[in-house]
Amino acid sequence: MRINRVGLPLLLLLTSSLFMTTPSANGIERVKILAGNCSTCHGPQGQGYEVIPRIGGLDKDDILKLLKDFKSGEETSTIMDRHAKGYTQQEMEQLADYFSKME
Amino acid sequence: MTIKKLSRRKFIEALGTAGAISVVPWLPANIAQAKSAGRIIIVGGGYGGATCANYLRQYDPGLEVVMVEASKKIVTCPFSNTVIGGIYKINQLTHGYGGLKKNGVKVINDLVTNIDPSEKKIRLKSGETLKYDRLVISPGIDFKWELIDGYDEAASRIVPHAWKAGEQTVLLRKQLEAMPDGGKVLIATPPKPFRCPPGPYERASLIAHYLKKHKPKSKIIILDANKKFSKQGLFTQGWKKLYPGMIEWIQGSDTTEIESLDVKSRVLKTTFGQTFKADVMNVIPAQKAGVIAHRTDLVNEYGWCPVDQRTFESTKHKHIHVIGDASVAGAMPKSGYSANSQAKVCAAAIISSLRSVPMPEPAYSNTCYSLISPDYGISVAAVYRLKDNKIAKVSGGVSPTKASKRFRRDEADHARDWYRGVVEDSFAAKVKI
Repeated sequence: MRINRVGLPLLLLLTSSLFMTTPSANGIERVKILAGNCSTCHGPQGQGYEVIPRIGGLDKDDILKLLKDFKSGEETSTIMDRHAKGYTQQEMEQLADYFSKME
Repeated sequence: MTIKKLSRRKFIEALGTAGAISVVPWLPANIAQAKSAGRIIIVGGGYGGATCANYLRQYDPGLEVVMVEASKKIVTCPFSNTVIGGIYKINQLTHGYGGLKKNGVKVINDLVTNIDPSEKKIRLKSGETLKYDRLVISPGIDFKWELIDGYDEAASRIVPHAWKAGEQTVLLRKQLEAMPDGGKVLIATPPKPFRCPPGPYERASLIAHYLKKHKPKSKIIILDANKKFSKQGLFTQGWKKLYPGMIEWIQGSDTTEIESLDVKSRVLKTTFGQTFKADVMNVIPAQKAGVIAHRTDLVNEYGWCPVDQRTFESTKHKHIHVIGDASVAGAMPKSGYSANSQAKVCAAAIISSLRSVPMPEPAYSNTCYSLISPDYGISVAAVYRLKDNKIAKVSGGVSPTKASKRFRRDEADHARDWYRGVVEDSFAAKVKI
């Protein structure tokens, strides 16, 4: 009985979460492919170097705003304008989300 | 009872804060993340091979990834012009494979002598044979030695090409150091396509940087095989500003090629009948895919490897992927950075194929910095997508022609960081420059 009280919701949770994570765990998430284009300069953990800044662990909205402003030209840069123009709004959101979750 | 209730509450709290992902560590590893059974062998430990090995392990830590590379250390071509220009030492561009090993890549220091695509196995110089489920070849380039009479591998120990970094780089540097003031340096460029399109011009720039300081009466001639070159406007502008009168560029034509080279007297003749003599010569021969690609019948009539540009699987042999300089990769230039980008897409393609799931839509990029001096950098950058099964540029370009001194200095600083980044991302190694 006790086992059922605890075990059933637990099992349900596990099953539902398994269902939720399976599609991305099975294949490679696309954002990882996109992020691969960033990590080459910003570092494997998005940690940055001396002048190329850290992007890992920053606030999602901040990253997104920067990317959008690089694309529009509102934010000046040496090279990021040329990169940012290659991504859609949706892809920028995915990238911002991905790097914001890095440590 | 209490303990159980508590742990359950904590469990749910954990779910609330960290989301459903936090459940995954509770599951047995084989359920939490799909594993792709199989052994992937990577041939070549340059930018393409190392990145692919590294990312295959990152994408799927359960995968057996074996990288076969003849050298124990990589000396990078990117930044090797700084050694020729006397800015850095070769050991600063030399990196081990310890980081890759730490990431779970099995590194075998040996040479692949034969590949059998039908049996899916490779033979090593040591005599050992290894079976693979997928093979990735990143062999870089080799030279078409047969095109210049008098120039071959042995002759390159007198007149270096310095287009594979290491001893050749150091040799060219030593010759420049030994040259008297007022000497003449000649750089002969190869016909397109070749590894690192801006490379010869960055080289001329950094040699000029050295000569201006130490041997200011000297001259540099670039004997070009082509009519135009990468970042031409920016290089020409930089040369005028920093090294006026020092660098002479001789434009190539369809009808003129280098006919012969006498390495002892350092005399070069063209098919047009011109003769060039120089104190230091750097002849970069025409190129083709690395020799193992030829031996495995992976090349087209031009000597490069045609691939499905989505997966980098060879169009000639199934389950063999070719990445980096050796591959025909649409609009992407032959660069270490391109190889790094292709390697990640290729790794995703292989894992998707092993798991029988669709691969994510690829996106590729390239960024190449060139130093005209240590304080004057220029760049080219691009993002690419697959369009009609070909890699096509969707954004990018070169640095602006109109830019302040500060901007050029910023780009030079970025160039050094770019090198730190691309080396760490590819070889899992820290750069000390």
